[in-house]
Amino acid sequence: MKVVLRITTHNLFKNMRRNLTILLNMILCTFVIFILLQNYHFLRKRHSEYFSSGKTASNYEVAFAVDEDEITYANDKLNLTHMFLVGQKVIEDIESNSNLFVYSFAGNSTRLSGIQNKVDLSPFIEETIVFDESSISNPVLSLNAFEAYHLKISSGRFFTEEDYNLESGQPLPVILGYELSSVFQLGDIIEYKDNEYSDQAVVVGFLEQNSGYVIWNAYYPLDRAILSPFEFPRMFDHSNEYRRIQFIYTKSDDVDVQAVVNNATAKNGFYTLEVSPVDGVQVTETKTISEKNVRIIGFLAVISTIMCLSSLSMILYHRATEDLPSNCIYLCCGIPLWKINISVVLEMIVWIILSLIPTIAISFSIYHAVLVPMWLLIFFAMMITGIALVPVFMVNKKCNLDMFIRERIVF
Amino acid sequence: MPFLELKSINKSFGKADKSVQVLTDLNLVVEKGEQLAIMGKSGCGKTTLLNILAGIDSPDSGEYYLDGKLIQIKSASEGVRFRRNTVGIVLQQFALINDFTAYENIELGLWESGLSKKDMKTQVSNMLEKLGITELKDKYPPTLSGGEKQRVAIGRALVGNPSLLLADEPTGSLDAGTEQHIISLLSELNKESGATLIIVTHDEEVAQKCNRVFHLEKH
Repeated sequence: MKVVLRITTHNLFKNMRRNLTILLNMILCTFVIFILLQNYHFLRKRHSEYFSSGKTASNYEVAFAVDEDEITYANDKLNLTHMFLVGQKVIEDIESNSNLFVYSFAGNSTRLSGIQNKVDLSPFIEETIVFDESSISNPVLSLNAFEAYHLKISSGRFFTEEDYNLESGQPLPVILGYELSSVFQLGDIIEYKDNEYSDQAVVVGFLEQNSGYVIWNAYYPLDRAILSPFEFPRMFDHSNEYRRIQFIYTKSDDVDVQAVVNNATAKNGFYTLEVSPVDGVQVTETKTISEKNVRIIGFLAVISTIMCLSSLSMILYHRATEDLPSNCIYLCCGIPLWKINISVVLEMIVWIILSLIPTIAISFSIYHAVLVPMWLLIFFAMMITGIALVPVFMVNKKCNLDMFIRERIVF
Repeated sequence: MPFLELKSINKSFGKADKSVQVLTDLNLVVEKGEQLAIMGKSGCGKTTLLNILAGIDSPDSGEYYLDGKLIQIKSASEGVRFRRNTVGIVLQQFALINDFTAYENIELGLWESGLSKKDMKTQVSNMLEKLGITELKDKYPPTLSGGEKQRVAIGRALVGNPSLLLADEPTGSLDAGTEQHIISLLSELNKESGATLIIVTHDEEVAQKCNRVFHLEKH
């Protein structure tokens, strides 16, 4: 083993320029394998399993319907989190566009981004919703929506994180509009019962008079509303369903929202997300840039992998030819050929490990995770390297001491 | 019992009717510690004989005994094992690894010996001293003269204390002055170690320094 390690160390450090070429080649190779595997996963998963487009939006809407069970399953069992993570990155890219405000509403992980407290939403108000005198609205609000919509409590409290993580059987906390304060008191239980569902809510707070919020270009007054962290009554049969709706507001009519979304999906090699305008009219020219890109990138990655493999094989072949006299000397000194070959394999393992680092770093910096399972990446990198090593073993087999002594193998 | 004995060795190259007979019914006996020069015209089979002695090639027929044991090399790996602790080889073109220092090149002869790093260091240092090249130990072959390179090569061949030292035209790449010096050194170190030295050469002066000369005839 000592001999193998000595030859390996010697090979690793003896010709830095040549070794650097090998390393760069392998980095490139690993990177294209990474892209190849990532795209393979995307193509393998049906678009409809994860995403659907909807029309109900104020200005534009992109709706994601994802089964929470499936996400959990994917995370824990199949390690297929890349789709979800890339989806997050697409959303981040859309949200970071300075021409848009993005409001995202997603079950128990509702969040608000883009629209900050200081943003004046009044330009988007086109109408004020007037409810029937007898009706009570039941908006479901996220934790941070109170802050975003400047909602103020006259008595009681806002919702807390615990309210969004209720255990089964606990009454649903609700905050009531100003007008309902004459009917209910803090701590009152509101019961709901019909043929299908029954549920209980507990009053935890009252809003100030004239409270309201803007959504879908309309002002919704909340004086006669029951605000809750979940839909009331809770439909426990569907409690696993995780629905996420993304609303995109433009700052001006000139902004092509579909183009912005297309750019984000194309940049991340993600499936097309179709945006629909507020009036429900379908966008006529929905491009499928990103889906095409996934296939094109996949194709290019295959070509690149083949080119990298050829290039790596050539470099290693030339190196093996140059090393032939040295290997003959090893044989003269009683060092068997298998030790020489194993040292080459060990050396390549070192290069594989080093070549993985940039790919992992890039993946982490963009997606905060390695999107492709590590074992799969290492497996493919080793497979490519193994193929590239075949010519090396063939050259090493030509270590003929008779030829060497007769000076037909020269330095 | 002689140290080395070749009995009716035959060796040919090529196939069927195009084959060339290089060695025919060759018999040779070499005693332990003897210094033998093998001479002959080009193509008479000197290097082929050396290869058979080194376990690099096998004869078509005949028997090769070394230290009383019948040597039968059936594969390249068997040849490697045979050479490991038995045979030292010195070649005309020095056969040094250019990325290794003189010290490392000599140490290479001990890599498969199983010695500890400390013991290896002692043996290599002793050899450097015997060769008179201690001050060159950190130099790389491209910076050494022909004579210095050959000393390093001799050091590598002898450092493992082989019982048989084979040299193929060891002075072929050296000038006359250096040639004399290297042959004297080789002879001296050989006597000291007690190994058997077989030199393949076409140089009469080199041959005369040996105890005996064996002439090979071309067939």
